[in-house]
Amino acid sequence: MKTIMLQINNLKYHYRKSKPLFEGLNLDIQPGNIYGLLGRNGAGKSTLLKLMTGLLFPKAGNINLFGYNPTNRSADLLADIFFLPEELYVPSVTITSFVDGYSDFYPNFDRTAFDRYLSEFAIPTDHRMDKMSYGQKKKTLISFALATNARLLIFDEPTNGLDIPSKTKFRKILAGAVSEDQTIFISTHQVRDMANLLDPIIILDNGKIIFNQSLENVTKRLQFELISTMTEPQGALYSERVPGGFYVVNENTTGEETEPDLEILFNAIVANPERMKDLFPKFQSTTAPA
Amino acid sequence: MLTRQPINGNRQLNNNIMKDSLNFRFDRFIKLLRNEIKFNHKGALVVSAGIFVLLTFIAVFTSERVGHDGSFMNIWYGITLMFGGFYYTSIAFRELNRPHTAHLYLMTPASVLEKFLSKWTFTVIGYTLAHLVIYTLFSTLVLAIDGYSGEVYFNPFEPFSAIPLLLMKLYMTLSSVFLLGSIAFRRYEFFKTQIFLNVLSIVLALIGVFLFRIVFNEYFTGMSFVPRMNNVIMEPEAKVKAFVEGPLWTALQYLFWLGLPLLLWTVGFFKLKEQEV
Repeated sequence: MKTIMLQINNLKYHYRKSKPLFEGLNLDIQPGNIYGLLGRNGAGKSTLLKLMTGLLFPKAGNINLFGYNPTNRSADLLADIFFLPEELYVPSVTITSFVDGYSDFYPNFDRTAFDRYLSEFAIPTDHRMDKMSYGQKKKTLISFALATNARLLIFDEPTNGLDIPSKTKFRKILAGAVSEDQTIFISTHQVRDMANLLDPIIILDNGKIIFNQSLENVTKRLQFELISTMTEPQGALYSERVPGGFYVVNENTTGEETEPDLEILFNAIVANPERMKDLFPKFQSTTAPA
Repeated sequence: MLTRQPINGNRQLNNNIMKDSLNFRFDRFIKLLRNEIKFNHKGALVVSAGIFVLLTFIAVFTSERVGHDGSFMNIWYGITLMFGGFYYTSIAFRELNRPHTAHLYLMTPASVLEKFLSKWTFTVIGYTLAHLVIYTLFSTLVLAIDGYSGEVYFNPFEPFSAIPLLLMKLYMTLSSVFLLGSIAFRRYEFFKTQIFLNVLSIVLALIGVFLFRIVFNEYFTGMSFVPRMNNVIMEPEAKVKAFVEGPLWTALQYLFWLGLPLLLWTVGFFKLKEQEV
């Protein structure tokens, strides 16, 4: 039997006076992966992350995270998750003071690793956090998040506001920092920043998980290729004009594996949800790599 | 460290709301208190110091004109304790005002009880003690300056005499209203709590008037009570009087001094538990 870290059953949620955002959403998450949560603006990605961590309460259904109901805000559960939101807040203290104040709430916090991440991001520790740039604040909190060694790390748009070298550094640090029993959940629009990092991919659209597949499954069933042509290819699952021709997604009938472009994959799935359902038999279930 | 194992496919959700919320560990509680001082109290300390310096100047420079004032110290003790304390209590949960500050606060690994008690400790116990110490220093300073300049105009402040002790008790009780307001209202909590109290007073007064009108219906002519006042025997029966002055008064005392704060703190705890971002 597969271990499940997060289980969402029949989740219903709506903001006050708004139409339902989620109606009967189900999701199972296994530990040990870097999940990419993709979706259009307003699809409910941030809301889903807040529901997962108990910052919002479901209107119906239940969420089971490590065996806890997150809405109870158990201190033990909170010590094992870290959620870095897109909109950051830092108190007006130095990094050292911040870390002294918050690190001991996390029993597995690794101060040496934190200093190392900061050094890799080139952030000096004696700076007042509120005086730092948005990117510096983000890098500091990313370093803090990774150093907590929490079993679930959630990043909402982690590369927003980072310069190009920092994005590369982020990928490198993240890839090296994650242990086998850790799960990372990254919600992002900047899928190209996360190339070769996110696997499996979860796509949220119209209040439903319309896609939850490992990249291995994606490459088994879909082929991605750039065709140098000026006319739109016919019969493709999805095609998109790019400089020099068309990027085309086809059903993989040859068994030859191609490297998927996450942005094209997202567009293909959102454009053809029904067709994709046929291609991925257990379309809404987790088929993450073991 | 997590005490429960990761869930598997058929594991049941352990949904013990009160156990998780009421979980209390002293070390986490102390860490919250430490962070409260570290991250939230520099501004408050500067403002408090400023107020007391200003008050010292007022006391010293007006004392000669005002003349001997035996109650000055107790009156200003009450004013600064109540107004300062109510305002301070109103902003106790200021983290909840904005989504990103609320995020950090609610995600800090401590139980709802620990978070509530840390704020309670600061606003109820901490403020009362800190104010008492600072005010005692202030009064000592004013008396010393007065003595140095020739004549002492004020009676010394006695922190453990009857009036300051009663004021402290009153502050501890009434601050519960503002602590609840701090959780329930977003921004301008102090004023919103006062407006709420005023509205509540008006509503209760109206209910009282209607009840009075119904109970004493036979003494009314229309909405007018006064014309028949002379016919009413205002002195209650001895049995009623004994009941009102005895058990009823005692019960009301308990209700006010204990029941009211306990009720409001309990409601505050549950309001905190329900906070969303």
